[in-house]
Amino acid sequence: MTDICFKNKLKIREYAEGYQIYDVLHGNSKGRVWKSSLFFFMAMAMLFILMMNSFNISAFPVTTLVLLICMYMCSYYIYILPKKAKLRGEHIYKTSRILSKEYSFTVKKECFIIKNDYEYIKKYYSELTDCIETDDIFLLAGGIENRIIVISKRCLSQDEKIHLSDFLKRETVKKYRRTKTRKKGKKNE
Amino acid sequence: MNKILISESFLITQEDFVNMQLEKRSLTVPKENKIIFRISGIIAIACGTAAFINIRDNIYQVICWFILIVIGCYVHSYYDVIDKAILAKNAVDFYKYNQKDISSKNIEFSEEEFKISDESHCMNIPKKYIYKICEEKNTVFVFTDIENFYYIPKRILSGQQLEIIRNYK
Repeated sequence: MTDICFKNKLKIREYAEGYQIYDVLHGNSKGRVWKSSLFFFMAMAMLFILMMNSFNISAFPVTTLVLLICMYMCSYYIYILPKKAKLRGEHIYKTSRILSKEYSFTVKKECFIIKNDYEYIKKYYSELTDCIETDDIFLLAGGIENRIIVISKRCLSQDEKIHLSDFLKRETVKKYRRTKTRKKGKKNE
Repeated sequence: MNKILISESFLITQEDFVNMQLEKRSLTVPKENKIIFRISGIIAIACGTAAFINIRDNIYQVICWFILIVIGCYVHSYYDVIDKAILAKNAVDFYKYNQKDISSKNIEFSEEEFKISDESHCMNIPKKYIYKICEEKNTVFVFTDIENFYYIPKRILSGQQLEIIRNYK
């Protein structure tokens, strides 16, 4: 295999997207689906109790309060938490003076190398715990530092994208995942 | 001339890694969260105990109050005992899983930059690019932004070196 080399410069939106995906998998948003489901079923149970009593809210204030709390928690896990993760990703990008710098990326047979004026990282594919591809980015995570590496597809040609995607799919078999991006909020570029 | 202030080498041990994870948590979890959990726990325990003493019409009520007391104890001790234990266990597992990739690290604080390197990683951060330096009981954290950081176990640093780091930023 010939090495793939390219230069990459991340935009705030791309880093935030990568951070959000990582947060859902390993961060605070982890397990948000089952947590929100739990609150959803509790809310349904409370609603059922109220329904059986002709929605007499004044007679069942605690049930109503629990219903409202459950509804809030459900929406918190589904909508608010991922949004918060994205905002945190943006905040990280803004506070870092290194993430926005251009870096060169070299993909070799056993490892990949990231280099810029301040940093040199060599990572073996065996170190990775996650390799996620979306429409806009590749997200690589793993190793003792557990840092996330985001590669923007914007800087790649169509051939390079396909080549890199196939290569990562092959090298990180069980860790590779392809997800779709919701095309929203591109204004923060 | 970029004068070197500190230059050390070290290997991250399991204890260092666990300490770092626990201390990182105390840096990132807001104090308000801890206070809210503790107060909620105390309220649940107090309500459960009061109800347990005064209202015992049937066995189901007794079970309910007992569950409320147990939940109160869980919530009250969540940050200090439960979360800490889970985090420490996960840190040990994570360390063991990645043990083969751990190599000796070199750190260097000079007048103009902070340098940290190992077999597969090298970072030269200009002093002005350091977001903040935090000192905890066992670890010194060098943050490059609000989330990403490098850590140095305090056991490898002398009192004089620690003083240099405290005045570094």
